[in-house]
Formats: sequence, structure tokens, C-alpha cells
Amino acid sequence: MLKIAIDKHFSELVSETYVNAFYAKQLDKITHRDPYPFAFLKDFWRPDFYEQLSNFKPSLNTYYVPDGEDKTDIFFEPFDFEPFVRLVYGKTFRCFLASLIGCSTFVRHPESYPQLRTMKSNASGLFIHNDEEAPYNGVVFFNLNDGWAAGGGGELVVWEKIGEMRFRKRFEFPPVGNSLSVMLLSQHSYHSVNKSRGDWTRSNILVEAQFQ
Amino acid sequence: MPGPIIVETTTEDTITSSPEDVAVDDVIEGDIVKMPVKVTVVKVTVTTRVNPEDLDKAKREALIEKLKALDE
Repeated sequence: MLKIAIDKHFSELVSETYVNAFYAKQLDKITHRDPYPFAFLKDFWRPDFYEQLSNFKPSLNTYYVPDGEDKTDIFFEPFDFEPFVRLVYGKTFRCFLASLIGCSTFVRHPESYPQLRTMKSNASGLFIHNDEEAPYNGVVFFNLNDGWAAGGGGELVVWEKIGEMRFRKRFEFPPVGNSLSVMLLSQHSYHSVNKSRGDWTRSNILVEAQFQ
Repeated sequence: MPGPIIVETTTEDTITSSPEDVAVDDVIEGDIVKMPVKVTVVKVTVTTRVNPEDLDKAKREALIEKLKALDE
């Protein structure tokens, strides 16, 4: 039986619903195993802490980096907001994230760090892919998109491969602010991201994880 | 500190089919590699040539050091 340490910061910063489900070992009621392990949680942080995260603005107008060669306008930078880093990479939160997809914990690749990623409006989405070849087996996105509204695009779509070049759309999640998505990557983890439209900036914090 | 990189973007709509048009529980077929949501052509104009890895280098290294302490 896995012992879960009580972390005061975890209880104070994460929404009560998820804290209670974690300590009661009932996360399976709010997560998915079909077509592969993933979770999408709304209203994840407590309001005060979410406001702090949201106010930690990206430095798009000072040093930003085109991610990729000449086909995308995603920008990223290290996200070093101390309370976030200490909590998310602490033992309790690692266990919480891993539990969402049926694992015990996660380890960090030596060169991996949380990234604040920003995609300008009308930027391209991502076609159906599974990220099986990624140098880690899991990703976590903390969405900060308060400017998102219905019709704005940018939804995360979960697909099930049902045959050669045949996919069934299983779930579609709008990238609303204060939501979290976590996904265990494998040959089955097909997903896509709809193109964003309109006058909003897609923004999230990415944590790469090697789940165990 | 290096100056900003200016990115100019232009978008071409060359879409022929899109996974976005598929409803939940419906099926899409075809070569997914040839089925982008939309093709975006981006023109990049770099006013100050810097190695992207050098941007945020100090910030990144300091963050990784903090993370190492949490790994243990």
C-alpha cells in the first residue's frame, strides 16, 4: 500500500475536490483509462493561487524563442515561479500527478524544467499524433487561458486508433483557464490540438515527466 | 542581453480536411500526416542573431539547480 505524505501546501493550493479525492484514493472516479490513461481537471488551483500563477506573465516582448524552424509561432521560457516549482516537483504532487494516470510517481529528466508556453492567436494547432517517441512518457499542462471563449479553438482532442489510418474522436476539452491535463504517452496516446482562433493568447505551463 | 526576435506571421488556408470537423464518437480516416488542422506559413525575421539556447540561459540553469535539490 502506497503511503501518502500530508503536504500542507498541496492542501492549501489545490482545489479541495482534488485534494479530497487524492487522499481518499478516489482519483479513478475523475480520470480516464480508455482509450489510454489521461485526465482533464477543471478549476484545479484554489482561486488565490491561480491568480498568482496567471499574474506571472510571459516575457514575450523581451526574449522569446521561436520553437521549431520556420513553421510555428509557439514561444517558451523557463517558468521559475518558486511556489509552483516547489509544490509541483515535491513528493506529494509527483504522487498526485502519477496517481491520475495509474502510476506511483514521476522522475525528472536532468535537463527538463517547467516551461511557460505561449501561442499567439490564430496559430496552428497540432494534427493527430501520439508523442510515442518523446524522451519522456508523460506531459502535464496547466492552462492559464482566461481569455478563451467558446469558438476560440485550441481544444485538446483525444483519439482512439481503431484501424489503419482510422481514428475515433473520443473526447474534446476546451483549454479553459485553471484547468490541468495529464497524459501517459505510448503508442496508443493519440491526440490533437484544434487551431486557435480569434483574439486570445494560448498560454500554459508544461511539465515533462517520466512516470513510474 | 540579446535584443528581441521579431516574428512576422502570415497564414495560408490550404486545408482540405480537418479533424476539427469530426464530432465526438465519429471516425476520421486517411493519412494523418497529410491531414493538418491548418497549414501555417511563418516568416521569421531575426533582427539580432542569437543562439536560441543562449536566451534565458541563466534563468534556465538556476531553475534546474533548484529542481535538482527537489529531486533528492
